Amino acid sequence: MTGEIDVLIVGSGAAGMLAAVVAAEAGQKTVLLSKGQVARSGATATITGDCSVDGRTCVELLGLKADRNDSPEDFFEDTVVGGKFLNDQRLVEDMIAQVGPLVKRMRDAGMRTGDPIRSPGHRTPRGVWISGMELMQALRKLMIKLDIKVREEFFVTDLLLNDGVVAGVAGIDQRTGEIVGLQAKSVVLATGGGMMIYPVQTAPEELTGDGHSMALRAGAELIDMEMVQFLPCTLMNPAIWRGIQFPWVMGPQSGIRAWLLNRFGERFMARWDPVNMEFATRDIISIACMKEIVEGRGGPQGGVFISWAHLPPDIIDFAATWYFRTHLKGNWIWEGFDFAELVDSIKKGRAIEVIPASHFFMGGVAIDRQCASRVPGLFACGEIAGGLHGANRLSGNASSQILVQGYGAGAAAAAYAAKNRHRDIPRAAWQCAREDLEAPLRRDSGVFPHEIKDELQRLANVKVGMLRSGESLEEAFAGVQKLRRESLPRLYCRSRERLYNKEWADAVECRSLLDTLEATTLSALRRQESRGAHYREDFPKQSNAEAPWNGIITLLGEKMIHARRATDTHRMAPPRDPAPAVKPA
Amino acid sequence: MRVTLVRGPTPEGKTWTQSYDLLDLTGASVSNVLQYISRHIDGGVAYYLSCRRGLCAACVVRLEGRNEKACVVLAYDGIVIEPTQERLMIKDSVVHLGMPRESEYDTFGAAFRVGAGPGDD
Repeated sequence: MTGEIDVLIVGSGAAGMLAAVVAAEAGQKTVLLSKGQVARSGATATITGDCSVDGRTCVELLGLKADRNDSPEDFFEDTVVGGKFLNDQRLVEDMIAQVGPLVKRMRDAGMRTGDPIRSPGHRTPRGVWISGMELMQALRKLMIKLDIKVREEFFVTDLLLNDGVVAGVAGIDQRTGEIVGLQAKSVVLATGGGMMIYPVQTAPEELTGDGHSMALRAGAELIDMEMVQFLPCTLMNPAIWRGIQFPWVMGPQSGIRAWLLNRFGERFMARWDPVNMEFATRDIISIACMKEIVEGRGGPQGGVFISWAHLPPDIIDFAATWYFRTHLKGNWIWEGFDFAELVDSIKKGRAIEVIPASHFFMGGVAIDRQCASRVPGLFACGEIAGGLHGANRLSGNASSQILVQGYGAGAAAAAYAAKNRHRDIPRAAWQCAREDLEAPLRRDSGVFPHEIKDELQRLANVKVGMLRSGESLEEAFAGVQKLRRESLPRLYCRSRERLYNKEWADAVECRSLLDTLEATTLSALRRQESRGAHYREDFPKQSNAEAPWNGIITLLGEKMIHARRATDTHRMAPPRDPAPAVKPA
Repeated sequence: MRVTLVRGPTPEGKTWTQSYDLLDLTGASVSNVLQYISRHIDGGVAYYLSCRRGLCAACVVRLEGRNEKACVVLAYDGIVIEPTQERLMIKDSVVHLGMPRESEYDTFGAAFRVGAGPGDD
């Protein structure tokens, strides 16, 4: 197929695939572009777990074993409390109301579901067990049935506008090596988060903030960019295991009482949450771990220790049958790795060194209930869309988000396309995008993409990671500006070959990563309090003196601007500090 | 550590081999090694890497005649990394695994591309 496109979907995780299915079902000519390969890329692949649905809906609609007394109202409350009242409550309402029927629909399409588990932050079991790979396989079948066309390994880099309205996209078709512009009536961004700004991630390689960067440059708003979730207790070494969350799963996630220790053997969680200890929420554990590391109480590899030495080995062995059985086959193979040897060393009493890894972006493109950004014709869904989770995302709510927003964005983009015509792509926009993309191939010397990536990841980790302060954030901001000024314009690739040039893609990702890191840094700098995933050492308390607000980043010329916007709290009022007593004069 | 890649295809559809001598990369996966070569030695080397934990299975390569997920296998001295199927080869070890060929959108026929976009006289 060639020719006219009504709706263009960018990204092929479950959110993008579902958006494509819905837009095509609405009769719009839909094309999906993926930086990777469809159903084999994006963060959906890493879901081996929960999709949040309220207990009543689990029982009545899905026929699962759950708590019939749970309600959408309780689910709403847990989500907003977990998000520290920064959630857009309208988006939360929509997610909760719509997720059940969509899970049912995906099950009808071939995805299996298991009885829900209870995860931290949820008062009752809501985490319907699903597999991301199965979800994508089901969606892939629907896409084939609907004859939706795709272009894989097409790296979309720019939104092309006509008078502020979406006219199409530009990007690198890696399979031909060509820079291509495509015209479309509406565009749905489903590009995922920006976790690659950090050096250790649980997220897949391609999540480099491309959508954040192009949306910002197109005039969209980014919301809550300071809110980045880290998953504590991921492996450090060997390199093949870096960022794998097996120790977390063998500990707090399964409910097994593993201990977190520093180099002195102290259970340092006692300083942060003496009641819950290692069962504190993951944001607090991540912050606590990082504090030990930064203040010199970590291990030789730069992490902290997790230990099961106080437990009899029988308890460890038993876990394989009651916990890992549901995840895999009762052995120690978890995801693609066989951890039998590691488990042997755990049973002999050895600790493992672990570090927190970047896991999820709560922030992203600001959207309304129709998943529309403020740029006409531009929609966003899934992790690239911000505002739903507030300052912290509850377990399982990401899966609910991709279904509900994938559906919503597909429907809204199709409705928009039905009402609007194609717009011409202005010569200047196209030339500008193309020249920027080609620049690293034209230079004879300069800075390699990996040098910029390494430096910005170092900056992000040390200064914009779990522990932040005004000083560290100012330094990070200056560091980002320096990279932008001195390194980005000198980016250069060793290979001039255009066909599937990974180094070229790396070079282009540097811009996405820098934009994402700058937005994160600026948002973090302006939030002078600690809230959820955002922890400021110079402002360690949550400030309830004023009504909650979201940080909004926009681009003015080439400068990022931060503004506050009052959070939608129409349904559930946030806690407020009592007004200070006024002394009589 | 000596690593040999089966590369290609040439315009004639042929492959060739190329070897790299790397410093100590103990504990690195096959994917780590491919990424290292591409980033630090030879930017023209293509590889596919997404989830890094054996789930998406798109990084699959052929090692000693067996198909293996590159991200969950340790690299070793003398390793030869081949594409799984030359028939599906896109470049080097990258093969087409996503949607069926008939789902492909042909960007050559698209409205705008290099040499045909607005601004290209």
